[in-house]
Amino acid sequence: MRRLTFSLMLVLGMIGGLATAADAPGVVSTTVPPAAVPPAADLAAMAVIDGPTESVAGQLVVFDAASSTGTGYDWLVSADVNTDGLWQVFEDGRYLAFASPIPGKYRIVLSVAVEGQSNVVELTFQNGEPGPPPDPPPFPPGQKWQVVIVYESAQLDNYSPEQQSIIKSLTFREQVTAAGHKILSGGIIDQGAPSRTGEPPKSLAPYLAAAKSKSLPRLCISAMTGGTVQTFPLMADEAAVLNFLNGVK
Amino acid sequence: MAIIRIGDNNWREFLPENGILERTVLYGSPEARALGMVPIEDTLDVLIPWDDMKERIDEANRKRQMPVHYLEAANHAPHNQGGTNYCWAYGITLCLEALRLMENQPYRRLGPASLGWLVDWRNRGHYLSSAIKGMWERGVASAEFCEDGTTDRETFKAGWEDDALNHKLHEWTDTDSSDDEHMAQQCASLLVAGLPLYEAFNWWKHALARVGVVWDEKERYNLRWIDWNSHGDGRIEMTGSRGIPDEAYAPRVSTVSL
Repeated sequence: MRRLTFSLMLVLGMIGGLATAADAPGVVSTTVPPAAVPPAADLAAMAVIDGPTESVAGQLVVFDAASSTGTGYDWLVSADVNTDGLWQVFEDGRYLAFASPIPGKYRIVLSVAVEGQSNVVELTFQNGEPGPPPDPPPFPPGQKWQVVIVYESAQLDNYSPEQQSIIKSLTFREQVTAAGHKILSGGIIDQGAPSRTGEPPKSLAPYLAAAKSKSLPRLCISAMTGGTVQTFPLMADEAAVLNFLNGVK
Repeated sequence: MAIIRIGDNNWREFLPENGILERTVLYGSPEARALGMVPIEDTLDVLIPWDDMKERIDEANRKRQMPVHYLEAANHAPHNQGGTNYCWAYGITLCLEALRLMENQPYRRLGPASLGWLVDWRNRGHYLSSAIKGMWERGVASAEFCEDGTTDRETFKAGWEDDALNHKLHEWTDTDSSDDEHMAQQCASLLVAGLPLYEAFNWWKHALARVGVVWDEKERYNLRWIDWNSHGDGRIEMTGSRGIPDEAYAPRVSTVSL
């Protein structure tokens, strides 16, 4: 939803260039319905939506009604969730911009009218699960790190198989160690793991604190000499983590 | 030494023990939840589809992400319950020993006999659910305080009760055993996710720990289970209908004790 607010100018720019989010990777686009232009003499209202049929949650997409015949564009977006604030129309209703952080199916409905006759078209749009976050920029090569991975064990099934491997693979831990980094003792840790006192374990407390209230799973690192703990969303797979720690671009 | 494999062809050779009392706390019931046994559909409900099972199991074995890989890398010597009926204590303790390694905690050999208070130090079988509760309440002492194969706390070193507070299991996922195929899918999914299973077999009256699974197309559901037994044998394997446990619980979090 935030993307919608900051992207107004972007939307207008995209519209001006007749580019839509369908140009973005991973976006499937279509035109509904196939173009069937009636003879001018029988000019009738015809609603046409040009736009993607699927994208990923959080990505801005634009639906284009400019190929429609008629005036008075009326749009409606509906879904199982409240769609208030997720969409907005521009250019006298010829374009609709949409962005939602919530995955699921959304119905995009357009109605146009000519001399009291209206025509309605509906497009079903699949707002897919967001992909893994982009990897952060690399560190300078040669830096060695103390490493802690914080996760939620009750959510293991919702992590990708590759992220489960980062958390659980013995082979991966050996690769991290062989590269000169150090996974701290107890450093593959559920966010709620207690010490015997019920408090977070002292040596891991700074890492748990740094990861607190942030999305999990999380990679937490600090220099071998100590200092500030930096945290990052856990990368997509073991190779990405190793490259990140090793400063490989 | 050859690894023991128990299947539908030879299970009768393994006489029933007296190690467990069959489950009475119903899956998903308020009583189970009060013991910390959270139903799988509340937590780890995304099971591996059967169509993907071979690939996921092979990958997990290639990357060594199951408990058995950590136990073997640590050269974990088998426990031996001797003549005691404490398999319920040895099974849950093995789960804790494995989970500690997977949490990157230091290797620590533990003494299952220190859980004997749960049966008032008598040589008795017990409920797994009660063992889960007892493990959460008091923990299990290090092996240096109590040897295997005894029910006599007088042989324990002083300080064992305090030491046990360092070694508890805090969060559990319970499984639904109402259907064998579904149970197999749950067990395999949890193992691939890197969780040990505290399990019991009613036909065997025995509890142990399930620590791995191999895709084997000669076996029922194409699964060959790797279990850790407590008769001085350690790794054994189970297959067929007798290899599907009647109850299985996955511990997810242990006390951090470095």
